[in-house]
Amino acid sequence: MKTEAFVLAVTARDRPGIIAAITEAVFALGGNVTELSQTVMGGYFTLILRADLPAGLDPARIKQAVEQARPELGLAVHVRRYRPEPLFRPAEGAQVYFLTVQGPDRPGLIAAVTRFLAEHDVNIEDLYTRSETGNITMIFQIHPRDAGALEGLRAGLPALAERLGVDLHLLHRDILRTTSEVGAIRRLVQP
Amino acid sequence: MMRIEDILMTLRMFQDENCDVRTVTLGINLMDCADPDVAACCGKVRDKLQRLAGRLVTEGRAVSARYGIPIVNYRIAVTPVAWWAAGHDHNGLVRIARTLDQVAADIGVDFIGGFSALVEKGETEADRRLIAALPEALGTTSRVCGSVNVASSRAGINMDAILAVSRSLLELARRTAEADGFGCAKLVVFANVPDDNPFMAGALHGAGEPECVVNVGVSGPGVVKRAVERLRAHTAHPDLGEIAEEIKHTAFRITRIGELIGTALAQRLEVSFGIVDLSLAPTPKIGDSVGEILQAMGIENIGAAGSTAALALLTDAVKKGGAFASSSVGGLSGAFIPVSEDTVLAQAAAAGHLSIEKLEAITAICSVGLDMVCIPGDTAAETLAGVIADECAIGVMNHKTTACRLIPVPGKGPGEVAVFGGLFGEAPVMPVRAGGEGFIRLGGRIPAPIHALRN
Repeated sequence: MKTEAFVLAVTARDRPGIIAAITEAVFALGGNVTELSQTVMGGYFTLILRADLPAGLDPARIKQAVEQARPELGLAVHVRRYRPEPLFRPAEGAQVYFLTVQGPDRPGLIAAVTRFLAEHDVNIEDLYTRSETGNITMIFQIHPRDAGALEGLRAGLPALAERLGVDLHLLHRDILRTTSEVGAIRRLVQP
Repeated sequence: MMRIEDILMTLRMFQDENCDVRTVTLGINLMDCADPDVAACCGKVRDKLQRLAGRLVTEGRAVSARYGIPIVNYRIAVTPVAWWAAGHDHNGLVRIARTLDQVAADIGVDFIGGFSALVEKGETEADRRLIAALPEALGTTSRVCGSVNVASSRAGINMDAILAVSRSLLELARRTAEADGFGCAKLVVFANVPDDNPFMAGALHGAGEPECVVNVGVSGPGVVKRAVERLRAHTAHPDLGEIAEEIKHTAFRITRIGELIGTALAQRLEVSFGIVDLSLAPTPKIGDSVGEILQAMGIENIGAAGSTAALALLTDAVKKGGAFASSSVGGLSGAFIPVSEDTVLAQAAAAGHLSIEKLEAITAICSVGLDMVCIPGDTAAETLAGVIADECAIGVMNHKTTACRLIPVPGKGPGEVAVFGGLFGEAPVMPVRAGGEGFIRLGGRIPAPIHALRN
């Protein structure tokens, strides 16, 4: 049977049985899940998965099949055909960093930081935010496109920190790997 | 994404806790620079150091920028000068020291170590000349550091050499009297000197080392102190076992950073990576003190009863964490207790809590030695030799490195303060007990201890 890959994004109020319902529906369509990531935030479930399904399936049919598999779960599904070619391709040797942001929380902070990153050709690969007692901590896993992007990022951080009234710090991924993981340094770090 | 708490803990090490790589030291073999013509010898030294270390600072800065980790000092350690400068007279040795000084300045390193001799079992003519040349060589240069190994667990204690070095030390203090005898801060007297120590002033590139090697000294007293404080703040009644465990985990992180930086720099320089030295190196900066760690553990006055045990716990936990983090741990890897360079220790000495005798006791357990200890400028050579001999005896009998970096401060006595400035700080002049000079004057060599016979 010829197959093609689809990407499904699902949100719902969290409860037991959601992933089972989604993957059973994919299986019933003749599909196979090849990659899946899921998290729960503030009681809301969110999931993104990639699955190989019979070629030619209409995304609207997949959406309907998953949403209607267990209507009582209230799943909101978005389906699109998988396109393997990346829209962001970092230069060979471009390094991964973590950018931490700490300071008083206020509306527009995430937007300001992420706009700054976008303007410096820096891709965000992962983002964690936590706001407690008026203070926010943001941790971005970022990938500058090339050495020039990294240089621009570094040069612009002090002014951004001053403008936003927050502490910004750039950490190379290998620093975090070496301090947090067990294993020979030579195996952990990039040349 | 990695664990958020791990990321934040690593971040704190750099943001708030003064974590850095204290020194990157390039060890270079200079045996092939030997030449009976001193001008030719100096030319070879200049060429080789430029060839192997010329890019040290540039590449180090690139590694520092890439990882966002400060490298505080860049240094060079060379093969003991007495080995490859044999045959040169006093003026020749001084000229070699000045060549080393000039090349170090040209390369951009703050110190170059290895104006050294190893004389634990006896001196060659070259060793004797080097020891005699120490006052002028170190007193008229700013970057050259020297050391003399006068004892070892396999050979015993060379008392004649200790007395000769003591005389040179006093002369070096006199030559640098206007700086409170600061020249002596560049001279270390060792028992069981390591071949790969990256820390100055005692760094040298010893026997058995490769042609060129990167050795790294990590820092991190502030990181360890904050770890202990956090544990005590967030845990109800933590006991000493829990404190040791916390220090061990912290040492793991610090050591890994040192090895990462050393490995990356060695790759760029296309030389071997040698060792990470685990010694916690304090500075006069508040929050970067070994004494503050002890205070966080409940020793309010450093030198009070319990200080030795607390330091034993600290050093052992650091070694355990470091040994698990890296298979390349070496150098001194002990506790640095440099009195003038650690504000809390200097204050304890000034208040009378910390005496030379207590510092000696600490050495028996864990510390590297009497480091940056100021003594009266009118101390007799034999008395000074006695202090050094005591320290060496502790090292020889315990199979460990011990060292003395003593500074006789010209014109100053107990209670007065010697001021060196910068990372060298300031410290009170500590009293020395005289009365053992007759023993020193007997001379000769104290034989190796029975446990030297290990084969």
